[in-house]
Amino acid sequence: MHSFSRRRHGVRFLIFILFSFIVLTDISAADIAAGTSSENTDAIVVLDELEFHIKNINSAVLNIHRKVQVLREKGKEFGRFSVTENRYAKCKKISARILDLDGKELKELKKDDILKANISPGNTIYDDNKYRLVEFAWPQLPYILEYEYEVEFNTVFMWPDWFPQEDVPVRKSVYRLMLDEPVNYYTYHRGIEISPDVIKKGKKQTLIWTLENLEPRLKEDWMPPEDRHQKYLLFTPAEFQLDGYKGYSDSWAHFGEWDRRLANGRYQLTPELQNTVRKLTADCRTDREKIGKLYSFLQNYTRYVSISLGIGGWQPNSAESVCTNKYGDCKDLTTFMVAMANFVDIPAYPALVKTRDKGVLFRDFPSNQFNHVIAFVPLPDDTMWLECTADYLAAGDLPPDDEGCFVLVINEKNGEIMRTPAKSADKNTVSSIITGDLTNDGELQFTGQVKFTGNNAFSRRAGLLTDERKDLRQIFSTGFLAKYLSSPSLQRCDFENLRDNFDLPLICDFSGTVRKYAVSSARRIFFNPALLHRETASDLPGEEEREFAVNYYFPYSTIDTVRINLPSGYDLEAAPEPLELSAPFGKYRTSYEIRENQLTFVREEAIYNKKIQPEDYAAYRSFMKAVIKNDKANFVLNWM
Amino acid sequence: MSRTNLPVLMFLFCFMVFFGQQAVAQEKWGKVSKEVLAMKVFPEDSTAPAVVLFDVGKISITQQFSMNMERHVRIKILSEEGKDAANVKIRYFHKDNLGRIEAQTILPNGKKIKLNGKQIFEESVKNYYKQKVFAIPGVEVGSVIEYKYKLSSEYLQMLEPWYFQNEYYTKLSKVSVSILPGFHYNAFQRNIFGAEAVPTEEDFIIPSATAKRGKAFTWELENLPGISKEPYMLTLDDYRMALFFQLIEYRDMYSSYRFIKTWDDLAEKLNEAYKEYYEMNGDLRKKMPEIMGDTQVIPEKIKKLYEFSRDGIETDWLATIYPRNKPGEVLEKRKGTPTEKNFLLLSMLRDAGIEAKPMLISTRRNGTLIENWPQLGQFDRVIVYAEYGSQKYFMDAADRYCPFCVLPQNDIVSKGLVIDESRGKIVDIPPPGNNNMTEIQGVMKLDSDGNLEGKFIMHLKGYRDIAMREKLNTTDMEKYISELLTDQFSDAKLDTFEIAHLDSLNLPLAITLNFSVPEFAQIVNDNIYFSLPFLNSQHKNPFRRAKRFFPVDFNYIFRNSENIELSIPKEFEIAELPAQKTLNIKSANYVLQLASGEKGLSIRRNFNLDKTIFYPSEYGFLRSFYGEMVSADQGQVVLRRIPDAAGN
Repeated sequence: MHSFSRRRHGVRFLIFILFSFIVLTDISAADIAAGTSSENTDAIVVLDELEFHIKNINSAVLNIHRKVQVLREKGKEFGRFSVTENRYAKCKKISARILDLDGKELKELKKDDILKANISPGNTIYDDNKYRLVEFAWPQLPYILEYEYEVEFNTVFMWPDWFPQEDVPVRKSVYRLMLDEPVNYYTYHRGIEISPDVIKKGKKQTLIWTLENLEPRLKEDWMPPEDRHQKYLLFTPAEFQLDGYKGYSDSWAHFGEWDRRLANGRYQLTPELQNTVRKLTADCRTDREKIGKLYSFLQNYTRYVSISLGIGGWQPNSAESVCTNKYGDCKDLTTFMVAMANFVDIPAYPALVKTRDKGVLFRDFPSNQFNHVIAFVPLPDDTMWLECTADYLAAGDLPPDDEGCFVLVINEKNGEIMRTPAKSADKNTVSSIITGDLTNDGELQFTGQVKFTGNNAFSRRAGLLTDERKDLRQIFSTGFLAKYLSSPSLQRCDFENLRDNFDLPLICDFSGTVRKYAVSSARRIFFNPALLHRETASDLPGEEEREFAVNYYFPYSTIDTVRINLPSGYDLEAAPEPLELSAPFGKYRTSYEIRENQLTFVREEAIYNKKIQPEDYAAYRSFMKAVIKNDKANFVLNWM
Repeated sequence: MSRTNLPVLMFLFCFMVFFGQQAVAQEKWGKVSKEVLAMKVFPEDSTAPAVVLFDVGKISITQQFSMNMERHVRIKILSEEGKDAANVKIRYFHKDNLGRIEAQTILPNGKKIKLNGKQIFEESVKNYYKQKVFAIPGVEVGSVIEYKYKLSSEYLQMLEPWYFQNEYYTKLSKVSVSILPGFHYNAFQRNIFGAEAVPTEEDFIIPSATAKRGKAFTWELENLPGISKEPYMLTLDDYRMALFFQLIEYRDMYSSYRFIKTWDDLAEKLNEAYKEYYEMNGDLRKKMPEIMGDTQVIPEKIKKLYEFSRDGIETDWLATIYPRNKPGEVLEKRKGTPTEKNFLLLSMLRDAGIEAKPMLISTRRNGTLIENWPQLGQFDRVIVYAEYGSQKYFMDAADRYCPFCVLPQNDIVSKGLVIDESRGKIVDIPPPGNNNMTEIQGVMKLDSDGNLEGKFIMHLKGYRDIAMREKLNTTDMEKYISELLTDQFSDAKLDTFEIAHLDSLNLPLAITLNFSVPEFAQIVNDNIYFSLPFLNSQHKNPFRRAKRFFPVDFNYIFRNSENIELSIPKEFEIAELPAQKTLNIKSANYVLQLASGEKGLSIRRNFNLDKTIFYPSEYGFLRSFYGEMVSADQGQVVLRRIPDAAGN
């Protein structure tokens, strides 16, 4: 088990001692060359220094200095780096050079080697970040890359953290914190037990954490996102200020209070929207019903658009602006939803989320760990959580990345940690019934129905409706149906509850043909009746033993019933034995029977938990191996 | 499309005389019919999330010697997904001016919500481009959105290209180009045929010179299906209906200016611009003997200089035909764009007395060259064309995994423009050789518990070799090789592997994999069943769609062969083998042969592709060919226990 702890760094006991000016640690090229080039690695980080020099809570300078021995082509990636600039951060200098292993300089970074760009990333239509991009490499391997850059901040809100490990060995990693005046801050660490060296001079203090000879990060298949970094030291200032908004990290309540102030006065609806909300909820008998109506209205009325300017990365646009623009990002749409709920006297609050794909919130480390906002509605009978950016969810349902997260609810107490619910395997189902006729040349003509619920329905709806090909039949037949069937051709494909009734299962009725479903030879026909779900070896993590859990996107269960009318004149020569497995983490069952030349095959599978813990891994691995073997086996018909 | 900014071209425009600007009548802004506002489903495509009702552009030349384009787009939103059409990005050349942006949403009840100027943002994009970005406010399902803008450019030589097709179904796409007297533009059409290719013509009066009349040409296309990418389709723009305009001449009563009209015109101007990039500096001259050694053989010299340019300079993958750095600077930086690396090679070859010329190509990602359109914007890379005796050399030093005289995959195009001083000549580039092959030999043994173990030796040549080398060098080598195995045998374990000639580009890559697959075969009673143990079989048909509207482009021809010798447990005999299979369609064939011997089974699989482009009319055959191949590759072998061996 990894230990977690949190320390508060006070400044009351400062001892003023003389300290020398900072000299970036130097390692000679000869040191680098010695004994390293034969290592089977793409590169070696010889030195990684991060210096954060805080003048006061509104002024700090970050210096990065890295020295990397590049050994393979892939290691050249270390020469690709970018520096982000925005209203709070300005890049003051970038320098880089390439040396041979004898320390002779081969190349120096020139101004025109630095590309400036301000393309907004991912789903953000526009943000005001600007980037300085560097791609710096040397054609002949091996070589030494060294670079430095400096960024000036006008806030300590973006206090850099320390992640000393890489995917390659690190010889030495240093985090140097320089305080020109007493500044309170908190840290949170994992895998780093060392104390810093402290140098004091008058009011000034320097703290230096150093780690040497670090192994590369451990990587395992499907590891939980929270385990991707195994050594880190996180920082947060006890007091910070962003665009005049002062905040504190000494408690979640204080941190939440800062967030609450950012949204002050932004919950007002336009008069037109007030009328709409009144009308929408006029006939509703319960608050739950009202929230359902308002959530559905939100989904239809708005679209997700992220425009992030300055503090807009944290501060929502007003509900009024969402009323007019009919768009917004997660915090804007949440503000709008909360405003609508409040308008009909239902208390509702924004909740800050670190989505599950980013890891798990460090609950005892109040700080800016969040990347998302949802709405929380504490109804008397039950609470409702609302993902305001999702177009294909029922009110109260959450997508997988929001499930089971510790979140910070910004309520009257300012900030309160709560946990979002997570659906169990029996709520995330796929169930199907397919009936088909198999011909002796291997063709299968089939009709069937498949139902999706919970997260399976959410993912499927999103997949169908956001695919750029637009043709639903084509998307379904070349996607879900084609995972194990070769080129199914659909004559019919009708969906129910695809664009509405999100609280009901998504249903697809279909019929079609797979021309080469079975493999036929002179005497035999080989086929696998597990048409829709199978586990294959690629679903099994590669490791014999695990350090970390196996992470599923969400728990699920499937049940598939397949009825195949067999071609006449054939006998069943071979079939996998029916199998039933039951474990604390899942179950699997197959069965079959043949009656009046019709094969009925049933396959059930469930994984109960999002995570399979390392202590269960051995049992999980044997479970999966048995499932894979069973799912791979063919039914064989022999000509009588 | 890149825009030229060579000084020599801009200079010519300084002598132009003023002409009037044509008044342009647009579709009425904000006037939308009740029927359109009420429309819930688009009759021609009931699943369409949005429909472009019209996309209308008016291109003209102003009295201020600039090109103006006014564009007005109107889109009907039919579903939640269609709302994405309201997030607009307009890309433009960084020296042009894009302004007067207006956008609005018209709700089904007729209410209008306008875009605020503060909601318009600007971004810088790589390669000299910028873009305006905005999200049109107030969009609902059922609403109509529209936006318009004006683009001004001082670069009259190339007018804005016009793409008729969009991601969404387009009801009407119309572009008018108003040409003033004296100007002579050529219009180049892509994927527009028949009557649609012929514009309507109309005279117009020039306001400030009433005695003179200009001419407006209008192309109008209706009911165009949306277009999106499909497998084996590299450049979507190659398949979109499009128009390109190029100024070739200006003449008035006092003067006459001929712009690029022919490839020779273009070569003359470009040759002037390129001159300084042939210059050798002292450092480069000093480097030459070191590179060439004491070789006196010209082809060997060419090879050495190519290899130095390829390996000695890091590649910056910027697509441009304009070098920014001279060869000496490229040498100093040890980094250059493909074009800069090739100019370095050119200058060294010339210095060594070898006849070498720049050759402009449009790489596969950039699109197909239109041969009768002398336009620089078509090209995105300069490679090297050299001649020695009867031998022609085509070289691109960009890709460090390409052996001498093998062009990178992205360069596999049929033609290029050779700049021979003041002459420009379209030259055929020979298609890549037919040595792109994967040869696999497998020796393996199946035991009576169904476990398989053995060895594969894989030899790769041509582009197969190049692609594999790149993978092995830029990914986790062991993981990648392991995945080669597990892609085919899902339970396989890679025991050991060896790679020969990884660093010797001139020798074919050879990979040896020792592996084992526990419980490979299914055992039921006295029978053993297993699928054919290929390392390189076809699991799935890549052509899932029943119909295809665009050609399938394989890039290069290839040959795959795999020979397996499989020992079976001695107490078993072969009960049944999959049928031998031979598939032949025009330019593709597949053969599966099996023979049983004393100790087991010999399996031979060949798949050869002898042409690279398959047209939509051939798609059905190709799809069915792949379907049959997938089925044959899944063939099953049945072994049965020999009665004596069972003790019966």
